[in-house]
Amino acid sequence: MSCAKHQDRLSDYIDGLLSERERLELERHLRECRSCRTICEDLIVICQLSRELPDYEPSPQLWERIAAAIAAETAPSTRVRRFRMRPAFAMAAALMIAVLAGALLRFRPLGPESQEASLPAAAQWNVLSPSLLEIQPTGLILAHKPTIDREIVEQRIEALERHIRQRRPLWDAETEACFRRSLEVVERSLAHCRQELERNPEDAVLRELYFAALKAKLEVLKRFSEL
Amino acid sequence: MRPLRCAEWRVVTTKTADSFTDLELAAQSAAGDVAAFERLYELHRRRVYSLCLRMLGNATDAEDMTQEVFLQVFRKIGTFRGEAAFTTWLHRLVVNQVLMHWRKQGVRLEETTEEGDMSEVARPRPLPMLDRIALEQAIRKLPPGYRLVFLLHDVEGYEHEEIAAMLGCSVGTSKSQLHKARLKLRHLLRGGG
Ligand SMILES: [Zn+2]
Repeated sequence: MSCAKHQDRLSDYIDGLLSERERLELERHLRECRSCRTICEDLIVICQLSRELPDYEPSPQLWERIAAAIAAETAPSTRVRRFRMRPAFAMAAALMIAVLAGALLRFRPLGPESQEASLPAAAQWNVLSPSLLEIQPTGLILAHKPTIDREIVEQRIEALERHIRQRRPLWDAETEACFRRSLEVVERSLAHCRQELERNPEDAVLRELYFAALKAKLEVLKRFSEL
Repeated sequence: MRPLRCAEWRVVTTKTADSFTDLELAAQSAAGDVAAFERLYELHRRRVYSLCLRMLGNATDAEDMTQEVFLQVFRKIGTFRGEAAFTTWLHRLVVNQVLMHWRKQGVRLEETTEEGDMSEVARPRPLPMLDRIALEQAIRKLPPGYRLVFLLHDVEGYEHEEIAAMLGCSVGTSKSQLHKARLKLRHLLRGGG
C-alpha cells in the first residue's frame, strides 16, 4: 500500500477509529516509514494542543445586550395584555361622553330664546361638569380655551388617524372590531353635537360637548395607535 | 420535561443556584425565569463565544453571533427536553447560525479548496515548536468547512456522528473534512500558505 493510502488513515488511527487489522497494518508501515511517522507525530501534537485551547470571554456588556433584546422580544406580549384592556377602557370613556351629550341635549331648554332665558352657559356647565370630570377615566380637563385647544386636538386627531391607517392592517380581528365600535360611538356623538351646533352656533355648552367628544375621539385614537 | 414529583421538588428547591443542572435551568428559563437563563448564559457563554470567535475571526461578529445564538436559545428553550446534553443542543444552534451566516455571505461548504496531494514522500521536516497563538492563527486560515468540522471535533470534542447530525452530512464527509483540516493545519504551521 502506498504512503498516500496510509496517510489517509492517520486521523482515524489517532482517533482510535481503525479496526484492529487496519491499525496493525498502519503501525507496521509507521515503523518502517519515517515520512509517514513524522506526519503522524505532527498530527498528534496538533490534536493535543487543540484540545487544550482555552475558551475566550465575551465582553461583560454582552449579557446586557442579550437581556435587552429578550426584554424587547417579550414586550409585545405585555402590549397584547395592555391593549385588551385599553380598547374597552377607551370605549367606556367614549360611551360616557356620548351618553352625557345625549342627556344634555335632551334635558336642556331648546332654542336660542329659551337658552337666553335660562342660566348662562358657563353656569349650566358648572352644574354638570363635576360629574363629567368624575367619570372621565382619563382625567380630561374640560375647562379650556376652546378655539385654540380644538385646533390642536383636531390636528392631533389627523396625525393619529394617519398613523392608525398604517398600523391597522396588522391588527387582529378583535382589536379591529373594538376599534370600530369605539369610534362609532364617538362619531355618533360628534355628529349629534355638530348637528345641534349648526342650529345653535353660539351655544357654549354645545361647544363644550363637541370639544369633549373630540377629546374622547382623540383618546380612542391614542390608545389604538399604541397597538 | 417530566413533572417533578414532590420529593424531587423539595430536593431541587434546596439546591443553590450553582448546583442546578442545565436541564433544571432550562425548565426554569422556559417558565420565564430570566435569572435562570442568565445562569445558563454564564455557564455556556465562553464556549459559545469561543466557537463563534474562531469561526468568524473577529470579536464584534463573534459577540453578535453569540447574542443571536442565546436569543435563539431563549426562544427555543421550551423545546429542550434533555434527550441530548444541553451543550450539544446549544452547539447545534451555534452551527445553524454559522451555516446561516455563510449562506448569507455566499460561502458554500462544498467550496472548500482541495489542497492537492498533501502527502509526503519527500524528506520529512518536523513541525516547528508549536504554540497556541500559531495554532489559532492557522485555524483561522482553514477553509470554512474544514474549520467548522475541526473545531467541533478537535476543540469541542464532538464525535463524527454528532457532527454529521449537526451539519446534515455523512459521517464519512465529517471524517474526511477533519483529516484534510488537520493536514492543512500542519501544512500552514510548517510555513506553507
Ligand atoms: Zn509512508
